[in-house]
Amino acid sequence: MLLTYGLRSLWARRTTTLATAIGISLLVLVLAASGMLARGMRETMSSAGRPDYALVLQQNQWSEQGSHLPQAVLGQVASAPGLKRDAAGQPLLAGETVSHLVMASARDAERFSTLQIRGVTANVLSLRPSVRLSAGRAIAPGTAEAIVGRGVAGRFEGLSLGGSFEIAAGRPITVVGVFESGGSAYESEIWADFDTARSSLAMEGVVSSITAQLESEAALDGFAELLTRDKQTGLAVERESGYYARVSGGAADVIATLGVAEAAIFSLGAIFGTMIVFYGSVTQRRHEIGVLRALGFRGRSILATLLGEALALSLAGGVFGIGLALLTPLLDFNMINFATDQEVAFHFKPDSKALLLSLGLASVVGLLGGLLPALRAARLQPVQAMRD
Amino acid sequence: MRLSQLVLRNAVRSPLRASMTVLTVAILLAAFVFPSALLEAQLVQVRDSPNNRVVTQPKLGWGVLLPARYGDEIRATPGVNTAVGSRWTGFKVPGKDDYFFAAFAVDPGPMIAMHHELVAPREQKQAFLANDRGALVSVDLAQKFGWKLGDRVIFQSRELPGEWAFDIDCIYQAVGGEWAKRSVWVHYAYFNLNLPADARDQLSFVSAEIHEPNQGGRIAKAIDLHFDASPVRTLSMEDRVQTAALIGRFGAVLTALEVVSYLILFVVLSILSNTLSMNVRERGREFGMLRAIGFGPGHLAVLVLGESVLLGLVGSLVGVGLSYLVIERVLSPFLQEALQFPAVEIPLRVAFSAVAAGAILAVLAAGLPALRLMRLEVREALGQVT
Repeated sequence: MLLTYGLRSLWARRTTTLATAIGISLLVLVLAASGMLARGMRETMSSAGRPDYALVLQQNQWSEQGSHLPQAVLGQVASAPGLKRDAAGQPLLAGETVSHLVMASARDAERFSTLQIRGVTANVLSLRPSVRLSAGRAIAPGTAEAIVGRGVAGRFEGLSLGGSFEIAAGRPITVVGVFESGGSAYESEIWADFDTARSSLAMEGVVSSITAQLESEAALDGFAELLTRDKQTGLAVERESGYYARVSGGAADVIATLGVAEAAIFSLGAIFGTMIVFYGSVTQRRHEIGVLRALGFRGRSILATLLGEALALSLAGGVFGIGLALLTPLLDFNMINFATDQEVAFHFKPDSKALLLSLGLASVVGLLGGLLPALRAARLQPVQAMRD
Repeated sequence: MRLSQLVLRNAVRSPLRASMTVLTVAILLAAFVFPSALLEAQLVQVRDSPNNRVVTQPKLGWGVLLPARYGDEIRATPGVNTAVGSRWTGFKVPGKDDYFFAAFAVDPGPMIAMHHELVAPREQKQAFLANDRGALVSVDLAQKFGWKLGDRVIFQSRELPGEWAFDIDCIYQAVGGEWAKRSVWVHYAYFNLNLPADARDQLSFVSAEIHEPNQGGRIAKAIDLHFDASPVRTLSMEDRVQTAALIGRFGAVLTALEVVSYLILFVVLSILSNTLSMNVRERGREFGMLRAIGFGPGHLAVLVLGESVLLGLVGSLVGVGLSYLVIERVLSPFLQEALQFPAVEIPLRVAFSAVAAGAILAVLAAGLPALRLMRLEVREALGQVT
């Protein structure tokens, strides 16, 4: 019976109840959203790499960008064990050239971003089945054409369907298609025809990395062993998913840390805010509480009721905050990936762990905020309370 | 009793409620100040950038290098006073593998002439010029590693093999430029000599000082046009534009922090409104009585407004004081050490806006209760049971 009393008390003071609930919902929003963004960042980077693919780089190079391998290495890699082969016995692999390109924003000519450009071969779409063309067509091999990821299309000068950009002077490259890949880091890249890119980047006879599909995840060891056995070859082999996990860098951690820090501040504010409201409520209701005590309700019940009110308030706010957080996937978040120095489009990904944690935090905040006022209410002497 | 006295006494009628309101507002405004200070620290860099400099970098990003001759060719461009080519690397002290600082290998003469913001005694700069193993280091770095003038130090590079021995010839103070606070300058010739053959004779970027500040954009385009047909194409821009671009790297994060700041302000508003509406509601009878004895609705509104502004201002002043203590004394040194952030200072402008925010929010918070109070029927109010 006291439960309904509690809920009706909240309703009776609905303006203050609402204001406090909204404050708590903002707390939940900040914590949940930053957790979702951190998760989205990790997924964007890691979904570009697959566990059954291998990446061959130059030894001691941090990323594809700095790696240079002679063309001849392709033949070496193609004859290594563990490669998946098609019906004709051909391995599914490709050497690509990777570089950075500084481009001006389409909206503000004075704003520049560093984008990753990849020279891709004709089989790139079969090599990367997660990538699909969402507009236009694939590159005609050997021509000055490119396709761009969904994350950069339209945001930079020349990077829209039908537009063109230049790497080397006087050699425009036409954008003939736009691709998407489920929100992975590839969506922030420009994929140009391999020969065109190589000559424009002055990287003749060189590839940055070799990507190859393995027979199975377990085949990596045998494959790597052969290629790195001889230190002279100067090769390093990694699982593609491992590479992308490695270059995800601290960006996600920075976001998660910032989120926690802001949530801590909001929590303090919410606890005190709840306390103010409940002290006020207890003061206003002291006659009622006095009557309840006189009727025989124990101090414990009063305490429980008030704590229950605080919990209900914070949970209501928390649920609303989660609702708001679930709207964030509608936003885009473009940031530099500190590790590779390129701009990547990140997304908010619903993360049940972050959501539950936020809801839990809201409950704790509510209980802590309501505790002291509830204790005061529980200790009210009936006669004293009814007298004032 | 004057109106102002009444306001003061009303505000502290419930000392618990008043102090908790002030404390909460203080904490939240301190939290509001932090991202604003961060943002402001970044924006100041852009405003402080000299507007008579053009920076030329490789068009293909920082992974590519410019041929050394580009420095001379840019210097010969019409409109350019002098130009300095820099080879950038991350240096570390052998043994301390986790702390890197920026190092620039330059032609020392033009560099000293151009970079007035590096302030040091003349004799020290002369010593640096004369000694090709000389190093010009920032006072922050010297303090951190305990370097004194004349010390011989050994540096290793993060990206390149080998070691270099330098003499600390000059310790400078960087005036108006966060970027230079933890940097080292050395002679290009000596640095270049110790590089493997295929890494020699290259530059990371070129800084050019131009005659007329407003010609920056035009000269930048002229430089890029000059190198259009060369194997390594360039992207030139005014120094201030480049600084803005570097800050833009963090753009989305800063925007997010800005959004959170506004959310914080919203919460402050709701806290002030809550407290105020509770205060007003509980004193219905008193307000009725005041009206009955002749106070007008306007007076009542002033009472409410005054109370709110008092709470808001005290809260924001405490909050700003708190933020100076916590942010500048505790947080900033921590961030500098742990994440190598630049020092976070709270500009006066930000402190003022926090206090102003407190006052404005207080006025807004008082709005609705004050209006309701003005329309109060005296009879109704007197009959109210608290």
